[in-house]
Amino acid sequence: MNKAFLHNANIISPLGFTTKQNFDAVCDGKIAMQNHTFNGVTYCTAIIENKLLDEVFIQQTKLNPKEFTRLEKMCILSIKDVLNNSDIDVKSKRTLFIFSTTKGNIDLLENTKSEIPEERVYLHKTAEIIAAHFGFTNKPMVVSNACISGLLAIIIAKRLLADNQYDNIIVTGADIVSTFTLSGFNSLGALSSNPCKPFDKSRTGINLGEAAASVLISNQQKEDGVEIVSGSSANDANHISGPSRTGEGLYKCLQKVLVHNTAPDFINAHGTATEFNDEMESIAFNRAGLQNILINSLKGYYGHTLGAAGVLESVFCIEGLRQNKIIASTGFEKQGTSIELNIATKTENKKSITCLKTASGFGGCNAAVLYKMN
Amino acid sequence: MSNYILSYTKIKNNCLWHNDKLVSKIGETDNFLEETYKSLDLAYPKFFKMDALSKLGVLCAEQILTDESIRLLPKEKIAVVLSNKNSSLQTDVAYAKTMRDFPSPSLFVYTLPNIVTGEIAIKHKITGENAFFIEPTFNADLLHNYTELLLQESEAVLCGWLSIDEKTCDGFLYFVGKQTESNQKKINFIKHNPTNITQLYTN
Repeated sequence: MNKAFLHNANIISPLGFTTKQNFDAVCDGKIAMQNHTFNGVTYCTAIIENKLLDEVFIQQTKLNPKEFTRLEKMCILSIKDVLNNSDIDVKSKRTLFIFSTTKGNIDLLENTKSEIPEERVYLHKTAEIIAAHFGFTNKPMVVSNACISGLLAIIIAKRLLADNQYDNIIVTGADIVSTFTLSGFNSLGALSSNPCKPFDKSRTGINLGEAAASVLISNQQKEDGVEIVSGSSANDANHISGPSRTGEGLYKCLQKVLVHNTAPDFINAHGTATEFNDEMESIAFNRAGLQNILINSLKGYYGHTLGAAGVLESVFCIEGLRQNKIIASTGFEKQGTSIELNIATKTENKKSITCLKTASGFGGCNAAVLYKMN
Repeated sequence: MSNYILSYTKIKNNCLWHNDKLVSKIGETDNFLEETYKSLDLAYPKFFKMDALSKLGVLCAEQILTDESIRLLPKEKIAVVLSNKNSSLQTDVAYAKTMRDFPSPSLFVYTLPNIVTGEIAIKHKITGENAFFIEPTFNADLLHNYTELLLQESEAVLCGWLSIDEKTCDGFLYFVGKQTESNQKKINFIKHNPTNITQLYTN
């Protein structure tokens, strides 16, 4: 069975347009969320400035920004950065592009005056537009599985590489902030009006954020490659919009992913800062005997980037392993879950070999991946 | 070891089929899914809270997952791999109409394609692997390929295509597993390959 390694990566977010800019910003404690007004309502949310996105897009691609949606521009910039730093052949039958998103170009439903054809609201159309820009020969694969989409896309890539179906897979996860998602999460009472506080006692909910993140996953080990040791998903079979109180699905993922019962050096959790998610995670980690492992959540820097989150946060896991750095879980002050967790309170240098990444989402889905620096 | 399609269901043109047998046929109606639910006597009131995509999936899954030989499989080893073209677009449009005035939380929670996966999982206590793929048309190769990869670790996979739009309701679910002593007498085995999957879908 072939192995799978993560190589070049990119993050397009309000905190920067390269992995380095993002990693450095977060190490400096920068937070992407600010107050923004959407249709007369103010939300604490993390968005990329349109003007900046268009400027960089024109500079990098020489294309007309009016012909692409915000999401497409973010994805194209993200993939372009990954490809610029690699020598893979996108035209090869052995190269695949996997696109993960929850809502894609959902803003097209809101903006009837848009010059973009309405059909681009279909997720496969969006993926085709992005793929066509780079000239991938294989048609793109599209994964849309709520908030585990990005991490699930990485798991699927690993399985395809292990089975020797491809040599290189580009996984891109992306979602934008829209009136659609903001009003929806607001109607559920799930939004925090201040930067969110994962795992903290006074947490009040999530912030939404937007990002596109991409990673090249290959069957070849190269310098700095981080191995995907194992990955798994599982369903709670409990509730469509709330996590299992016993952390059933996530616990099942942990059992499958932590082969030989070896604990990881650190955990990058889902940590959305809702009462129920963070509580569920503490229970699942405790059931798996991981309550003493150093844990962080990146939602306090970026908000919840939905379909991008699993990829964006995985990029942080691999950078953390490469640079021997554990990022502080910003927003956390006091233990706020029934099981006490070992939350990272400051960004520090620590030699790490393995990292566990987890995600959970609506529809009762959960996913976990174990990364290893070889 | 070969894998087999052990059971399948189809909803098309106001008919529900299970393994080539017509289970339910509803005449001209605007409420085909509800009428089919009533004809099956499911006694699952939660059904009425669901969006059309979830209703379609739950109805298709019911025939397959209540079969005795399938009911006995370990629930944590059954995966669910679904696909469609529209994601949750019909419900997205319905929610978007409410969002400027009174955003509806009960619609919003259905604005993801994999909520139907959750509804099927809840009804039948299935806790295995999940994946939802978006494809422009029914793609037997993709479903077959990923299902075979999952069957290296899972016991069985519930797969298919669930598509709803203003005009059409197109559901096709099939259950892929291994030949066992308990199921071998009962089922007409169909080998799990893209040709057979396509044939079952288009027939």
